[in-house]
Amino acid sequence: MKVLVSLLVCLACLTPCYTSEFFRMPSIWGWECVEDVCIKKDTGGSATLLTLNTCKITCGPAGALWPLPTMAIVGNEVANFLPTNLTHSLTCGAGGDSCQLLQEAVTIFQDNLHRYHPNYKNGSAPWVGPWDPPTLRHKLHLDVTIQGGDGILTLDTDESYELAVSRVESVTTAVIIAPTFFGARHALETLSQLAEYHETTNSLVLVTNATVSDAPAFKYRGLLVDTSRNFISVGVLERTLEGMASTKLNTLHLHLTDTHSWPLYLPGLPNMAYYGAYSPSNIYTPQDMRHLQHYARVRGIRLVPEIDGPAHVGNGWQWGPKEGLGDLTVCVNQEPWQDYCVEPPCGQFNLANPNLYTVLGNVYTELFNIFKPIEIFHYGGDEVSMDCWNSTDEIVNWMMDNGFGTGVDAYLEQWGVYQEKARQQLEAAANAIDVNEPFGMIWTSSFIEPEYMNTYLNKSKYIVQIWTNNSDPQIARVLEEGYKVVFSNYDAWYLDCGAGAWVGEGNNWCSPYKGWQIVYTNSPHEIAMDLTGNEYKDAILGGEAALWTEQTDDATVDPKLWPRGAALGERLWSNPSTSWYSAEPRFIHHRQRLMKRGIMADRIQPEWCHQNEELCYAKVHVHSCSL
Amino acid sequence: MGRVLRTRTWPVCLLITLFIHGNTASFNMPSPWGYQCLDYKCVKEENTGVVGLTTLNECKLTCGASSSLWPKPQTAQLGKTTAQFLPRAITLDHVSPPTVSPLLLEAFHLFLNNLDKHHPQYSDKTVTWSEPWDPSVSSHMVQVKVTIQQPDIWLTLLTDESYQLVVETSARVTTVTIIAPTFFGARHALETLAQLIAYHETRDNLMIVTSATVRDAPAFPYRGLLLDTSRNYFSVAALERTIDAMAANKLNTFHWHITDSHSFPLNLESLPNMAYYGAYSSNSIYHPLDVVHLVKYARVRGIRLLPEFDAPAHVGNGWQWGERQGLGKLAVCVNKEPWQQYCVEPPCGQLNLANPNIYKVLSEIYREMIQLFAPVDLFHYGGDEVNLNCWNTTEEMTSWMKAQNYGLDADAYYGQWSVFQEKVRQLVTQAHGGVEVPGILWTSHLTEKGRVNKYLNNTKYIIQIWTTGQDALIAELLQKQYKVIFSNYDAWYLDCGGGAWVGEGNNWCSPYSGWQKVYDNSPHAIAKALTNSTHANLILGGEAALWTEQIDEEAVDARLWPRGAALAERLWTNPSTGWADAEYRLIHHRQRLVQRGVSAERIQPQWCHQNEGLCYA
Repeated sequence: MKVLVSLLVCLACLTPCYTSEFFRMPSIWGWECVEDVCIKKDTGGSATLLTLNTCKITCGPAGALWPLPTMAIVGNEVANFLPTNLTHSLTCGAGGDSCQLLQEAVTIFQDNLHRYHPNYKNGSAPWVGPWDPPTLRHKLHLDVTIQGGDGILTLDTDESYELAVSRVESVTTAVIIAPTFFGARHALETLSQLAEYHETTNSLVLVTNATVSDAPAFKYRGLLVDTSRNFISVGVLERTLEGMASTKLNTLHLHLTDTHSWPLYLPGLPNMAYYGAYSPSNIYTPQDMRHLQHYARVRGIRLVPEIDGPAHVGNGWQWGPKEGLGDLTVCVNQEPWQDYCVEPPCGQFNLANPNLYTVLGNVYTELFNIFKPIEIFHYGGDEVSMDCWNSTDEIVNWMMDNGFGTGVDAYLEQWGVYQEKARQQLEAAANAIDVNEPFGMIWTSSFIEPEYMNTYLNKSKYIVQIWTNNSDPQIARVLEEGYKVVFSNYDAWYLDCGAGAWVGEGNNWCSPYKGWQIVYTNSPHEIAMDLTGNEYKDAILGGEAALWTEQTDDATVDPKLWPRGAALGERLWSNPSTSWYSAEPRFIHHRQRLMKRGIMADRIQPEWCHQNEELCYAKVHVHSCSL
Repeated sequence: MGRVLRTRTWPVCLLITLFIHGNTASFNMPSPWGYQCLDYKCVKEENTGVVGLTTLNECKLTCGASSSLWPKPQTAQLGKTTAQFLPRAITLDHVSPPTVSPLLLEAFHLFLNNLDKHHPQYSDKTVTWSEPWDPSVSSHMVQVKVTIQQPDIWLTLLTDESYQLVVETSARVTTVTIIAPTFFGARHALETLAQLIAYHETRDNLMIVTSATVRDAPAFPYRGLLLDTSRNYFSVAALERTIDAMAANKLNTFHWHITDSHSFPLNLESLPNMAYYGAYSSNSIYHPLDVVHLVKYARVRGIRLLPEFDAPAHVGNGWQWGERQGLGKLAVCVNKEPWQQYCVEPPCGQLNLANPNIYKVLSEIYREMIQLFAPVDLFHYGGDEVNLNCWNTTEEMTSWMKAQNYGLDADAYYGQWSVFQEKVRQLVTQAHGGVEVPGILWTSHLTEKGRVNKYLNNTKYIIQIWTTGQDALIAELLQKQYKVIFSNYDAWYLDCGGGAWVGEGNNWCSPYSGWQKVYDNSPHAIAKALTNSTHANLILGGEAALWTEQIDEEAVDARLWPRGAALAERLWTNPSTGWADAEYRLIHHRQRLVQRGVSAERIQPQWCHQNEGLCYA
């Protein structure tokens, strides 16, 4: 009672300084880790309870690490320290610019520590004392060794790492050993999650005893952002890369172009963006893209550029006739759209016009100029409307003149011919600058069936991206034919589902919304197993969640991607055999971390659930309660 | 000829521009596209020297019967030409009662700031309008003349929010005449005026429609949005942003569901224990001056702040201190497990009706709230989702019920709930200096057929309907002459359609209600369908609710907007036409909200904004 009275007196003296900014009310609540759960308790004046953040990073076998490492022992010894008190020794046995990347990654790591401060803004945080001497003295030392690699992420890159954190007096040392730069930067992410803001001392709290040995379950861990339906600014793409880095996702698939707009400025083909960009300010310059590519790489992420074809082209291609090249595309913005495509506006390549391939070759050359090296190029290749081609005189005549006929089969065959010609253009563009032909990625479609794919798609050159639902027998056919695949089954990994319709009324085509639980539970190996009796571990490179942006632009990319992208991250990094439910407390905390990184992630639950672990459950304990 | 010349020469200048600037911000590529107003639609065309092509903004400003005004005025005649000018060229003359003048000046200042926000590079409250300008632009004057007739400075349900707005232009002067009975009508007129002005994309100045006549008034006196700040906390800045966006849509009531069983973020001077025990953290608190600030912030934007203090259920965290202070248990079932037995969602909690001390505490709460929110013209008592099993499994409650010979059946508990309600109504009246304040209550078991007229006097209470729009209860309430506010969850609950937050699957009121559904939800049509009468005199208006179990300030804008704008047109204009006729205007209005700093959801690809009428089903 005495304690309470004194607290109330204290409150009374605080009330005059009303503004939220300066108000510091004491809290009666503290947390205790009981059987791996943080329990909220009344401090009753005792000082033995932890702050919420301290409890979160020390409680349970893996604290609040996300994604869950392969092996982690996280202790409960902690030290307070200031993020300015960071030293490092880097041992770099790697090639390329690995060592320089590592320096940059350490700088990013330190910035991420500063970001834990609730008032972090524009690169700095107001660390204000006074602190006790142990806090002021305590130092975090990074001892990082990378053994090899060349600083370029490929499907063969070893992303594993070992992290050991230990303390001797006032120095906590984090020893990181990784085969490549990429493993080392993942280790720094993990280490950053062993720290948090300490709510009552305005310093950081750090776990000082931990051992982590970690490697990803899948090589390809992606997010797709469509920058054609709506333009997404470079700043928002940077923020997306931040979120991916914090979740150890490693592939940003940019669906750069579509029928709606062509935002990519190509110096050698300026007409594309001139005709195709929504406005002169909705454009990516080559510098923008190179900047993003580096921004991504130092965060452990590759960019996969997609130039979709032969459908999903249109705006940006209207200049052919004026330049004497004829119609490069057909059905562009044609009405009624329902007859010629799946959504407005329509447009497809004009297969009858050989100039198409010259221009396509030029587009690829320009792409290499911007993105070199490209490990994976995405050809798109979905949703071709046969009615578009079959109602276009020029194409119908050409089909007839060449004796192809005009049946659906004939068009599928010509689609195959187109695909091979496009690949040859890409190969030629690669050869011209002496780089390897990229892997080609291609969406599932009516063309990705044995009778066409075996003829036109070389298994060693193509990766198939699956976007059908998880029970589609097409998945089995693609796997059984021996293709490498990436999963993006829309029933779990399309992040745009569940909004209102954007043509007409009701809800959009792939409703309902996919909650994080569905995203988390979606297991490529299990899907393969259910359909084929085999997990196809070698063929399944990984997965990717897609954000198609008919109904999203800069203003709301973040809450659509996050924290669901993090649920995807744990599926692809850890491939857990446990359910979403056991991941929930870590997930909720990780969402708070994303916010600290400047990402406007959706909230999953009331804050009460974050403070009262395991009490926001659904299983009904049935006792009839009659009145 | 012109065509060939143009296409052959532009890449050269483009490359030069790129070479000089080299980054996106100053990368200035020309555009081959222009717009023409044909058959009330802006049509995108290649600019091959055709006379009469405009920029997109200019077309949106002058095309169609109401151009892109949102919400659509009752009547509007708009000219088809624009005059270009600079924001510095706007002046204000006004005739208004002395009490109103300071408010008007503040509202005009906000209007000027909103014009600056039309500029794409506006940030951190400033923008640079860059020279050179044509002399006809830099010399053009815009004179705004406002006449306000009445001295009212606070909004009530009887406030006349109408206005007349006339724009005329002669030579280099555009004159804007605004006449409104009250300040509130005048500030709405300034919002409309801001929508008759747009940024000119290629000349870096503003443009205004040269002639317009608008006569306007709202269809409903109560046009609300609810935000729940208990399930998750929202900073004062996020509340301000929400109020800003409401102002842009002529919504007039911010219903603040401040507290619930989850947390108690309101720091009351007289009862500091409430927030001490109940706030999520010492940063997640509203201080008394925050509330006073927000009341004024809202008023100058034409908005009342409606306080809700939910009881007797939906209380819990924040109430744990009673026993320590010698007041006994104030709330029961707080955080009780398994929650499914004692409430509708975790955490549980209800007031302890057996403890008379709750009325002492409530009296302090009401007194301080009414003081902070003054002047209060409506008070929301909450009053939903009482769980009888909570009370009936609490020893103290059942002993009391038995000792008083009330019995333990459902009717006994409803009876005591109604006694509670009458007591708190008296406390609120007392706190309001003895003057009755119309109370609002959610539909609940207490408002059901057979109970409502027994327990709730229809001259003292307004009922807020949150059932579906087909519920027979609506007919019952209207036939019993209750004044009502519509928030039927099947259209106007903006939190629906997310994933579940307890368990898996989707949340309880899925699917998501798209803007089309929000727009088409008509209280009069619902009343008519259920009772054969629109009951226009009883339906005060409507309100969309954002319950925040799964939202905090990171994503609040996207949930509220632009669907809140669809609601606003329903409540201001009450259109007889459906969403399809409003689509182009809404899409453009969404862009306006983004300019105002609101992260509103995008409804369609930008292609649809540039190609009106082509994204149809």
